[in-house]
Amino acid sequence: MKNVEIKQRHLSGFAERMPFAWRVPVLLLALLLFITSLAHAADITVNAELSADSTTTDQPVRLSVTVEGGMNATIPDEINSDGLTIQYSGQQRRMEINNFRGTVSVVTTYTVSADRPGKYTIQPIEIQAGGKTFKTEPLHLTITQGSGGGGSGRNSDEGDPGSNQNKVFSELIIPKDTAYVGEIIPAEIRYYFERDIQFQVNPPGQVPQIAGEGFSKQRYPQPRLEQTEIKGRPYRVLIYKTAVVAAKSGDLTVGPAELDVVVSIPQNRRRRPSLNDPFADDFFSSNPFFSPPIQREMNLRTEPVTLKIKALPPGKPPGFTGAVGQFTLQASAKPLNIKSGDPVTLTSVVSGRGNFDVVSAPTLVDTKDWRTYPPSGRLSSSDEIGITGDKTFDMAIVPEGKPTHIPPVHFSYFDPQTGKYVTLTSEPISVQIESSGSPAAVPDSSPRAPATPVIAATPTPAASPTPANDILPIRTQWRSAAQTFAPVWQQPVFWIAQGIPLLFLLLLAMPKILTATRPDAATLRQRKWKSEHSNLTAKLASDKPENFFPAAARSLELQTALKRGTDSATPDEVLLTLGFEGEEAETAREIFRRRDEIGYGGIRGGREISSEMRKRYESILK
Amino acid sequence: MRAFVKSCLSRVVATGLVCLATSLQAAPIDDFAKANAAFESGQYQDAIRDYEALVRQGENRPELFFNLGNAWQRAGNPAKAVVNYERALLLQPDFDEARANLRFVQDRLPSPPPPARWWHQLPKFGVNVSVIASIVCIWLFLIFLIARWIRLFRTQNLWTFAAVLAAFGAILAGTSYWFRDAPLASPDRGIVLENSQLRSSFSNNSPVLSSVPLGSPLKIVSENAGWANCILADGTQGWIPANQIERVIPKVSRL
Repeated sequence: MKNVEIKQRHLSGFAERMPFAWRVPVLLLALLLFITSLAHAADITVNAELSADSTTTDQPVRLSVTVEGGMNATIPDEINSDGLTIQYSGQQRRMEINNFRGTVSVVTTYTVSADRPGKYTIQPIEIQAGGKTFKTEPLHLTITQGSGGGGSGRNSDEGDPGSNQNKVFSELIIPKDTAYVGEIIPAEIRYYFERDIQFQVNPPGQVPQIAGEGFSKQRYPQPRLEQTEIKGRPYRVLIYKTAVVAAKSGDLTVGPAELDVVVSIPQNRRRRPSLNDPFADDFFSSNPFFSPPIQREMNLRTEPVTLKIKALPPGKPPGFTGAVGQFTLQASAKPLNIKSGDPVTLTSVVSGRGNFDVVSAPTLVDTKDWRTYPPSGRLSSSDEIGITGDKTFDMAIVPEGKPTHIPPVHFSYFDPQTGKYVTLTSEPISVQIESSGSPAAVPDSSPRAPATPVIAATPTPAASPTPANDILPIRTQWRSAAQTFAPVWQQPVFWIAQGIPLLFLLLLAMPKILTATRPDAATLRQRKWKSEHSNLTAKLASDKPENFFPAAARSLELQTALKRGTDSATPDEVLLTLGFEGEEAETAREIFRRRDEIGYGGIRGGREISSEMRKRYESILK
Repeated sequence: MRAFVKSCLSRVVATGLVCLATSLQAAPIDDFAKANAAFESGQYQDAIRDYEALVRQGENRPELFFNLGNAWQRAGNPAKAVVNYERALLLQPDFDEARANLRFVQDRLPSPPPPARWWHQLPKFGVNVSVIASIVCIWLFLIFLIARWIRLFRTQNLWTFAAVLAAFGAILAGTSYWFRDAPLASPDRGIVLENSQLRSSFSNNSPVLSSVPLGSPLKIVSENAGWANCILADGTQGWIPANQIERVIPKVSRL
């Protein structure tokens, strides 16, 4: 048993465990039906028919020979026909009782196939029943050449299809022998189970694992369950569809594709059919009541398939990003009546069949008058695998200036059917840009502009309408740093930054300020006189005449100097400048006289200055 | 004075450290992409949750608020969309898509805003640009005056002309700030989130002054006991439940 892991376990037969007391009534019932059918054995009819009048070399048909009413019919094990291979595949017996009248039908089936196409005739089959010889009608069968072609990895897990041992097998079907790098290659994995075999994927939901390197595979949709007939034997087929995409050139081996299942195989008690032995009927061999199934865990594995992968030819057009398939391009924009600076949503739709994973957004041919933003794309698949559909790109563009139209967009791909690169270019879209007005929410009344292929034209399907009014799409990236809502003048750095111009201002003005604030000679003299005058305070407080009178006289001279601006003044000038008259003038003259006496006469000592005298002197010194 | 300088320096250092830490930390691009994926798949509530989580993390970015506005619009809450578009425009005044979407949503509100006046059509630079332009012009004005005073290059008329130009620029930028940008950037700006009623006092039993449709802008004067004292665009002042309005500038904003 090739590539099959059988791990397990026999369920003990239900019939074997059935109590003996139950077997007796069952046998009696069968005997009763047998005898009843014998009573009507006289009405015998024979019939032969094919399941189809025409087929292909790789699709056998079923030949059914029915003997109705004949218990002891003798049907040939082998039927010879020139060019055809007719193999016995089974016999089925039906017993019916209507109004206490029994009818026995025996259906013998054969598998009919041919290696070469042609028209064949199955000669009448002779059947002995009830002591008579019956002949069926001749049958005609037309056989044509099978599909063949493409890679296919079939693996029978229990012998060749059609053989008695063939119950489960699998195959990997890839309809191409050669492909290009990046081309979508459909693949189908089929698991065949004979009709009476129950099966379940283990664990449930598991999908086939395709071994191999150098390719990627598309997602699996839900598997499909179909019924078919191979060489006359009915099968249920579990079909997984997917697609593979080669990543590099050279020989590519895809598979094997493996799947774990649990199958329930009915116990086979089939003996050599003998119409004289009613208990050899399938009723006992296939009925779980008498013959419980055997459960097995199996690893189903297809044969690998080898493909030849070709590299993409040189001469890739600008903007080609690896898209391989057949595509069309449409472009539309909204709104078309805007004001300068308002955004327009440019929608490009790439439709068709191919590797949409690498289909990137069409680009503007000319961006001179338009500021573009990164587009956002979304894929809408129309098939289960995701290789056919529409990929829609929305790109916000903002006019810079007053352009009259939106430039075309272009999209490049490689067509594996023609083996050439194709560049699709849309038509330019007229746009009206106003200096004022509300730009948003202007209905999109323009039809979509279909693309014009440069090298090869592809049919353009009807476009799905986009909503006339809608918000612009989200941003998928952020380009600015995190900010704050606080105004700049609330931030300390702003005020600190003001120090820079302030410093510059001060540096600029400093020479002028220094010059402007430098004191002149008069000011300096004034300061000097004021300083000298303030230094006289201690001497003026003295009671000794030799200290007081020179200080008092100098005080009067300094007051005069501060008023006149010159330090050289006679006593008369002092009196005149300070405006002393009468007693004040006499007191001032006395101060100057006493100073001269002390200074020039050398008079020292003498009477101390009384408080009355000080009061009189100070009245003019203030 | 010394304390003020010390405080300013410490804040500058702290701000620098925060900026450095932020730049070193990996930006939560994955969270943004996750929220975008939720939006693209039509899971708008999930997208809103993820976007707002980013906002709470301090990611005040115009693109984030723009996408959040789109998510709210898709989720059927145009007032929230308006709030977030306004936030995006505060952070990036030249965000054309946000302005277009804001106008799109506002035009479909029960009470769309009045048509824009001519000064609203002027280029918008934002409050920060206006302030900086004003300050720069003032400094230039002073510098030109000083240059004239110190007789720099002995071109008195040139300095006079430059100083006049700078003064004109300062007046222009200041006017733009005070009359156009500052009101937009006011922390008192709010948007009504649902159809509401303006009452004369902060009580449900107080008389209704007027009905306020969702999306209406207003100025929040004060808040008291779950009510907000507001001034509507037409000058009517009254009280609205605070949970029915949202400030354009969130109270918690990272500095």
